[in-house]
Amino acid sequence: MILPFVVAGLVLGALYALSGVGMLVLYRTTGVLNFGYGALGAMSAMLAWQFAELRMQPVLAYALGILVATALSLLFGFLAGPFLATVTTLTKATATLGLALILLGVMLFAWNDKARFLRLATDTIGFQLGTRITVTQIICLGLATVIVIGTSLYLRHSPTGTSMRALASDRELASMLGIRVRRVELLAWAVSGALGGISGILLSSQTRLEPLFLTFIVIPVLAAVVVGRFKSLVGTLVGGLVIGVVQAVASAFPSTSPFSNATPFVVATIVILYLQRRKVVTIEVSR
Amino acid sequence: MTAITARSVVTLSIAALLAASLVGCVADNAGAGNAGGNTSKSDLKCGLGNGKKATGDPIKVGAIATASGGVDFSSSPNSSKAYFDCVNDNGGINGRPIDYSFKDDALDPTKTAQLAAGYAADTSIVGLVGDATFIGCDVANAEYAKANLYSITGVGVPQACFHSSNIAPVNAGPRQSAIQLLQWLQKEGKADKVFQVGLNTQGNGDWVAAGINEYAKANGINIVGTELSDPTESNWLPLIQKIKDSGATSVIIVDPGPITAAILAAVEQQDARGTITWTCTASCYDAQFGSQIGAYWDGFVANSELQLVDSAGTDNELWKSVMDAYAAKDAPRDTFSQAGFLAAKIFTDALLKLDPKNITRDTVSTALLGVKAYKSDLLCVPWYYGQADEHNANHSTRTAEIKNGVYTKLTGCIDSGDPALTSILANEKSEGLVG
Amino acid sequence: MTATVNQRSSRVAAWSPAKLFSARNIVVLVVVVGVLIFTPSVVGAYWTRIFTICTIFSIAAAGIALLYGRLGLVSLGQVSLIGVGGWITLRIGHATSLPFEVVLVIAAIGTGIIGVLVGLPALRLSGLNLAIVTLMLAGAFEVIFNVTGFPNGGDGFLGRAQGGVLQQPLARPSLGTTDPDYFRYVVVVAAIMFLVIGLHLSNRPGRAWAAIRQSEAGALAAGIGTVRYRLWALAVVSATTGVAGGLLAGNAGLLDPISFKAPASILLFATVLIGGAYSLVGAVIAGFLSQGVPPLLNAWGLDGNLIFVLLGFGMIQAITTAPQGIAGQLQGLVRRIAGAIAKRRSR
Repeated sequence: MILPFVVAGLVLGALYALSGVGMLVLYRTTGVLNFGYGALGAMSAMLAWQFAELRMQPVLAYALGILVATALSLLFGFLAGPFLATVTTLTKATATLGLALILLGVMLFAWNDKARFLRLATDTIGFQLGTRITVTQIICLGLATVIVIGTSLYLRHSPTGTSMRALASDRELASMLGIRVRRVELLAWAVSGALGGISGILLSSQTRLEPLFLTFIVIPVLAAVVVGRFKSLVGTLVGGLVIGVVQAVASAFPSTSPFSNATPFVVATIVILYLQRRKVVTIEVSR
Repeated sequence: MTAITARSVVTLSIAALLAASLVGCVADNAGAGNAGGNTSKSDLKCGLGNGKKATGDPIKVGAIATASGGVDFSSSPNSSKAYFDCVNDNGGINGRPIDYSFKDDALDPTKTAQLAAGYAADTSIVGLVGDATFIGCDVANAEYAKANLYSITGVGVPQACFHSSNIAPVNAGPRQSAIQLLQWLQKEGKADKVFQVGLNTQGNGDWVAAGINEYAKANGINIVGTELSDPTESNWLPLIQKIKDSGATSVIIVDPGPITAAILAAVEQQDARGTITWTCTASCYDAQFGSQIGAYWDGFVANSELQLVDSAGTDNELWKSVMDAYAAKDAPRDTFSQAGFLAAKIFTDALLKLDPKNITRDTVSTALLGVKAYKSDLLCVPWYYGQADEHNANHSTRTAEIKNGVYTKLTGCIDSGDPALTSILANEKSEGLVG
Repeated sequence: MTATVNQRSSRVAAWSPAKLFSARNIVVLVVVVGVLIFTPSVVGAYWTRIFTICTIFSIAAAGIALLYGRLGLVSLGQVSLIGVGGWITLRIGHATSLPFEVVLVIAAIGTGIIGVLVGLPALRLSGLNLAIVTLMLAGAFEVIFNVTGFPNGGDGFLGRAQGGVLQQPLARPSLGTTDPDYFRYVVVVAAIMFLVIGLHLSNRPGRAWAAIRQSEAGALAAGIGTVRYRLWALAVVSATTGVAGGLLAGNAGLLDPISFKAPASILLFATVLIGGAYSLVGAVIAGFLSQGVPPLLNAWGLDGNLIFVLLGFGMIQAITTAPQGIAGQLQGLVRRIAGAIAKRRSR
């Protein structure tokens, strides 16, 4: 019976995609590939857990967690934005590694590396559809689809979205056209942080609530973004879902099960190598 | 487009915080199980039990425990610390307080080796009490043996902890715990098809599985499946599928509490409990486990390597009250905690017999080696150290089941039927180690 | 004709006595000998072990520094290669009774081959794409190590002791059985590795790599075989990192997959950036940052996890204000002092 695995894979893949969309929005607007994205999600999940442990209403705890992730992302974008705009893509990404390490250190210091459980209220409610599906899983799938479609439409049709796309293609030109560059960038950081917070909480309920693990879940999420060729939101969604399903189905068979966790890495490597198969000697313009 | 100004962000946050504080809280309904003690702090009889704070020269004692990296056994040394604090408040070791601290090896044997070498080289450390390393007993023992340093380990997990010259665990170990679950299942007639679940950590999962297989072969029990997984595993669907496919009638889980709770949560999510008898080794025997896994799991069975929490008995009561008085409020009341407490008590009782002016590593080591026929209501059989290359003095355990969210007694002491214990049992008889 | 003469003389110049016994080389020699002789007795047993591990990781850091500082390639998967070297050492060490040194050489060759094979498809990548691919490879190796584990005296290809058989640690080399002796052994091997990398950097390969980094099109135009030199860099770095893995295996005799996760590679890269990717002194600093500072924090009563915060800030600072890293800043300081002394002398 493969069905429970397929469902679990779709859910995990949807979360990879949801996370990936957040990373992609930021990358397309500012050129920053945020390696600290997982850490933002982890911070959101840990805070949500902590507030819930302190007897706060769960929904409020989650909202606070997401808010803090947004704020942290915004803060980093505000402080580091001007500098990051002047360096190469590689250096931008390396700087966000620093953010990831700082957040990880704070989290490990505040809460240690113990495995905890984030039990969402919707975890226990479910129904049979060939296999048992919980409401949390439906939320994950639904949220991912809605957000991908919503972001797609937003980028294409709304004025801010168009500004973001303009920024993505040429920052200097966009500023000359009167687009408030800094404001749009900060909006991208905020949106990215919010999406990171949401996906962090959902990921922690579907996998593990552990700071180190959630911080480096950015690696499989990156795989989804790679499949989307760093451009396409729908590509990221498809990539995430495919990676999730393949990973889950691989875990169903004893011969491939131990290697199933390597799926995102293998997929991403193959996609990058395929996309870069034609050797082009480029001279990168660092702005 | 709304402007992201600093002011709007601040306003939003304040509004959220206000909302949080007003609507905020949920009622506290987590029970502490049945692990509360009844003795007040001033009446505790730890060590000399004379209520006088010890002010002499401190005696340094250490421990190595795995507290992070995927499993957390810090409950054992933390409980040792609680007992030592109580001893220090009650006269210490004939006036000398115990200076106790433990170090975390984070599930990395390289780190265990480093910490062990550090302890071995530090001559002010007279002994180790309440250790609970998940992976490092072999590398640690190599260091201890060179330096005449002995450890009364609280929680031994891998095989090496029970096959070392300088390490003697107070607990029975996962292999004995699992085999005794199998013995109970056999007695109850539920052992026709048994599935075992464990961790793939070297010397842990494979050693326990070997023990179960050996006992099963000797007693005609059918083991339909073995699944050893990584401590960091989070996808339990394959395991649940395997259990379903094997047609098992009972499952023995040999995982630490949190991992077992995750497995059980996944089983509950798939509604796969069925008519299978689900059991777990003493690592699940934690007073809050019942409320953690929820009402779905009423009737869940666990082994207990020491006394059952709700039993009467002086040492059991002392443990509960010492934890209430000296340990953190949310410190687990589990088997590991009892083990750490007992290790500290054995150590204290051994040291009280020494001349307080002559407490060095050599005198302490001789005293520890000489511990025999140590009785406690926490144990089924007397405990001993003794000079040997294997130490597994505790090999009789009890069983409990969850009823209405708390563990209640299911069986009394069951003696181990592990075929590999014969040499130890013979040694006990010939050396008179159990009195 | 003149060109040939120039080439020959440049090779001779590398080995002239003046260059060999330069002030810097003498200082380095004195420091290394001093460390060899005095460290174990000065710092005690616990710290001797810590410094052994720091030295081992500084070898790997030197490889990262070569790739990033000289070639501009970000490799976020070097700790996996340490694991490969350790695995080969353990397997061969348990299977044969060859002396430890020979096993190290085999591990170096084996890791070199694996590094080149794995890196071959990624050879034409650079910049962010290479960083991502190496990160993915680190993740893949993490899964592989979890599956295979590390050899511990058992039989079969994987060499795992199973089912209740106690695992056996690998024996230490005969020249370094005690902890202080092993520390000295590791320092000597590390010095040899640094010499290998240093020689590469200061001769033709180093110049070719710098040319490739500066402008790949220009290097191609100058007749430098970019593919060949990149492979060479990969081979050298993988081999030296493999030796580091072998030394790590010899240290505790046992290895565990938990030490070779993907985040460890990211951390090592961060320490190299902070320590300084443009000099070998930076690699030594990086080794100490990654393996020595957490125990130091613990010894001072602080949470060892604060190392991540320090590394994060250090990394951002290194990227923004001090790309040369701590080593670069130290060298700048030395230069300023030397300049001040020279100025005073010339007055």
